[in-house]
Amino acid sequence: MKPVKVLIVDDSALMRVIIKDILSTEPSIETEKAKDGAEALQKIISWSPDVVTLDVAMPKMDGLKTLKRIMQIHPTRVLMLSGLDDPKTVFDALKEGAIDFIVKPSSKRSGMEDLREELLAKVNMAIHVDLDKINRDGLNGRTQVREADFKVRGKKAVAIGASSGGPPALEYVVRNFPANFAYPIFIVQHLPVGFSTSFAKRLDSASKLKVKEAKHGEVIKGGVIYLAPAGFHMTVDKPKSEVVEIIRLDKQPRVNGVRPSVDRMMKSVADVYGKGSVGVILTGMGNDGSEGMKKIKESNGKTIVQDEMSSVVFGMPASAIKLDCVDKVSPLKKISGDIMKAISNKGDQK
Amino acid sequence: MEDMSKYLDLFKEEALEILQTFNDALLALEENPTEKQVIEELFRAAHSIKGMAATMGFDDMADLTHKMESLMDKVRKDEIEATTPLIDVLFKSSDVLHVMIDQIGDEGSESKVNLDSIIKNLEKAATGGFSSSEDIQKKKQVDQQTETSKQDQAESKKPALRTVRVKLEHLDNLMNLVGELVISKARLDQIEDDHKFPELSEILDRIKTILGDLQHEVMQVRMVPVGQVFNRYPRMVRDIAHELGKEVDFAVEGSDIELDRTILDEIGDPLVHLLRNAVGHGIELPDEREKNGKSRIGTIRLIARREKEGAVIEVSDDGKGIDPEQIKKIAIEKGFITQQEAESLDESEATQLICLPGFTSTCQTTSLSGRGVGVDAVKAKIASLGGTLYIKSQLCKGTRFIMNLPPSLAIIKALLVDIKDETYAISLKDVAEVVEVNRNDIKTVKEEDVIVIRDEVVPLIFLRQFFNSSFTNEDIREIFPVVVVEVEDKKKGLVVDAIKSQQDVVIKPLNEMLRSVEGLGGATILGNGKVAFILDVRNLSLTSGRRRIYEETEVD
Repeated sequence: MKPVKVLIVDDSALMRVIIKDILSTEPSIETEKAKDGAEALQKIISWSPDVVTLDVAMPKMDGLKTLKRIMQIHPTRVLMLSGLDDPKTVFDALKEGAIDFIVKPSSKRSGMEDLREELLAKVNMAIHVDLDKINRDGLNGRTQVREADFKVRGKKAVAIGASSGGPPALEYVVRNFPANFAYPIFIVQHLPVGFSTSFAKRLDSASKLKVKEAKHGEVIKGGVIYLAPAGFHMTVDKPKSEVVEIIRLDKQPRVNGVRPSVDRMMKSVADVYGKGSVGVILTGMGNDGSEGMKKIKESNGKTIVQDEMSSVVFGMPASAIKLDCVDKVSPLKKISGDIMKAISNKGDQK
Repeated sequence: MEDMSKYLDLFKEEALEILQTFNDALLALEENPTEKQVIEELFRAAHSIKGMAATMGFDDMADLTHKMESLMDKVRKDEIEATTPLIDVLFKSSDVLHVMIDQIGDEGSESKVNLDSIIKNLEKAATGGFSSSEDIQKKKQVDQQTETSKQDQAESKKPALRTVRVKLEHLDNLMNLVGELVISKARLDQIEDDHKFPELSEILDRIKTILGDLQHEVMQVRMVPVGQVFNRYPRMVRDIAHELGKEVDFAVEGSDIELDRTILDEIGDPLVHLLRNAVGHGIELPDEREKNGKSRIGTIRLIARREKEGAVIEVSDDGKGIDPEQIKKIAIEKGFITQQEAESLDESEATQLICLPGFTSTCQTTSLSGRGVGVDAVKAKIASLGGTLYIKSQLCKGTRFIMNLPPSLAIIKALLVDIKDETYAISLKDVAEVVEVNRNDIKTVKEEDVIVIRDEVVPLIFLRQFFNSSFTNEDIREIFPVVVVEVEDKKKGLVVDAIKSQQDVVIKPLNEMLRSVEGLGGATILGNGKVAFILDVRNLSLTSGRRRIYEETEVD
């Protein structure tokens, strides 16, 4: 088997050695190290690594600048390494073409074991990302959605799940909802603890709709996008005593190895909104969400997944397709339009 | 659980390196509290250490650096200003951090340090700074905390090496072995001299070349840039100046000059003394300076430079200087010298008196009080390294403490001379020239025997007499050799019986009893297996070895 070449870029000699040691536990991985952006660019050109791990905080040319240069001169699969403190840069980096990011250990986490697990998983994931998908220009664009099309009919909701590659894709999708979109939208994006607040703000400034990090017990309103906070499962509920739907957050065990889980969120949406539910799975590694999509389908809701071409990682969409519960496979650019159509069609059928 | 202990050395080395960067940047920030680049650097340094500490599982350290980072983040985002108290808190934090890094055990356990007060202070600074008396109370606690940390630091000063890490003891062993080789080679030389084997002399020449190269390489390996020690001083000078309400501009020059590692380690403390003195007693208070027409900001310079084979390290200030007349007065009062002796001393010689053991401790109550705190100790330390300390001072203009240091502790180039039946070695770096003197050329100036070389008056020291051999005027030969040594800008002529040769000698320390003998700096083993003393020409010059012997000729 051809060895996988990983370039480790970090200004700290300690971090370089630790990352190298972790990666070297997989015999198929070969590593090289670079101590700054300039050296990284050189080695990317001369050595053509398959994957680059790139530290965000570096002197002179920082991680984001380095990433932009990489994408200009030699697009490569890049995983960002970041502390907890700078989510904005991380999301910028994802938008600039980084595949995913890894959070360096902080005092609040157990440290090395998590780093090892996450690093190996994400490097192995990154290897399989098609190089053609790396340079992702055009995510800043906007597709036209006619606002006049939109009328509120019945109890409906949109449930979106995403993982690797999700943040920039979601940013694109939410940007294209019209201001008079009147149904609630629930989003589960797998993120490390500490990143969802910042991500909600980011989506909020991109969208005409209000985007917020969901709070336990809050009453669900139409035209609001609720992002599940990292570390909590988010579900929707319609208590018998109430006339309104509310959000519930809990810390029950991880589902599919993640929390929040798309499956749990989607299943609750199917329960509450029934045939008024629209389930959407965007790019992501693994299979979280496929059971939820199946449940929505069984409740006569609509289901859409992002297509392979536009997905950074075609894992979650593919496993939903496998369960034979997907109505439509769409490129990212068409997703918001398709959501609008699905929501409207639902009403028309009634 | 992952075994992190293998990363310990790397962690410590890198963390200390970054911490040094942090300190340097902090000093720069103090100069210019709005400099964006410096602020970024501080933020990033704290961030880096935090990440490394967290990875290593040092939670306390990660907490502390996290707070430092958050504070700098606020400064970075212009939410708060980098005020002096804020910078002080960061300095204190950096001290605590330094101690924490140093105290990490070999098995990789984080030592428990109470961080409550420093973290509270960091948090307080992050919300806008200190004001109430409660805060001052807390600041005091932190001060105490750092006081202990400073002591710890002094005990475990380990500047980080950039390249291959080799235990110093290996280098010492290597140096000792080379020393033994040098001695053995000298013995071979002796044998060759006595028996004249042509084949032997051929291979001896070859060995001599190789040994020379080997010695050079080993000495080279032991060399480290003085910057490794110097870089802790800007911070220290700043702290003392703050404490005393003085304004000091501190300049370091020649950080890349290299010195033997052991010598460098040894001069750390003497330099601390000298710098403390310079800030504390050299530089005047800003108002006083202004009154005397000087700039309010005093300048202290720490300079390293190459000279001959060794190096010179100088601490200079533009402060009030030392008054030689007052020094003389005190020296007479305290019985160090007589009135007569005092009159024979020129200004420069008088200034050196502050190096006399116990001189400074006896004048605590005068205006000079403390000017020479520990100068005798400093001088002794430098001398034990085979170096010299010389003081130049100009009243009201400033003072310079000049250290001359040998290139290596272990092996020196020496001139071997005979005095009566004994062979002595004189370090070649002190030797200016060797001359033959006719006894008729001896003249007397101010009751001293002198000779005149190229219009320069050189006092003579008869070494036979110095070492208490029986010696009278009749023992002075018609023509005799004089080794002219130059010490502290002054020339002295050492009268010996014969000049033997020049060679590398390995310095062996003297035992306690011999160490107290004036004029002896060490011993070495000669090619014939005999022991020769190495002359300490400084002490020869300073003490009363020059006694008038020859009285016939008067100089007009």
